Amino acid sequence: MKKSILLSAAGLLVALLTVANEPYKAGDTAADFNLRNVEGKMISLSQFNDAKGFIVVFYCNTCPVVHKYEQRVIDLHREFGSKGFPVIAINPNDRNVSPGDSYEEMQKLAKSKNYQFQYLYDESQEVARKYGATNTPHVYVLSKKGGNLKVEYVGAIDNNADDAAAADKHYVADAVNKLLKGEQVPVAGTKAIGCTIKWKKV
Amino acid sequence: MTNLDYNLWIEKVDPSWQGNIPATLFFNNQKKKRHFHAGEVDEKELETLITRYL
Repeated sequence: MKKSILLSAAGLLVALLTVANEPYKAGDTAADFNLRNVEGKMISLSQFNDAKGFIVVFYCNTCPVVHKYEQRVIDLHREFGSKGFPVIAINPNDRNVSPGDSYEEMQKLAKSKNYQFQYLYDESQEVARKYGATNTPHVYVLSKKGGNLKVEYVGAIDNNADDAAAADKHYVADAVNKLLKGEQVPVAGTKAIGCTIKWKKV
Repeated sequence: MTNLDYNLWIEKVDPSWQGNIPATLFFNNQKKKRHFHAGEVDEKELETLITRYL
């Protein structure tokens, strides 16, 4: 009896250790994923043969900070999508905790705003956990290096959440522009303000 | 808290804070107690945290 309790405790510890991992930072190798987009298609980064990298942004329907950044996310895709760095937006919010972030609501929003970037549903929240995302919007700039995805930048889009015109540090755009020139990304990471991810209640 | 360049001060509130809001800083200067909690708290959790840290 005692032995079996001990064994299950050890098993639990192993399970916890495999789930918990360090949040991605610049220099790490990012994992690919396979998530449903708002058109019902399963999307992986490996499908983008022409991409040089990606602007992965943890995103959602309901967060006021996302709303402030929405046009900037649209603009990032418009500017860099055709240059090989498409925006890949991922909604990790649990629909029970935040009904406005359900798959159906994502579809409605993407349609009404005519999103040209991929908007994916991380229903299991595994991708957000793996990347170490904590809030929305939370950006990971990735570059293709050999067969791998290298994390180049983690954090905020720019340094003024309220007013795009007043921002004077454009972290994501600067990072991608440097990568397009084959140069080093100037800022490896920032702390991004945003709404806490609505994790599933256990 | 009106400085919109959040990256300048998020870490000063608490080095562990990733910038996710809501976030709560509990402090009691008389007892020299300080605790930072990132993320949501319901009323019960809030009471527990106040009792524990203040």
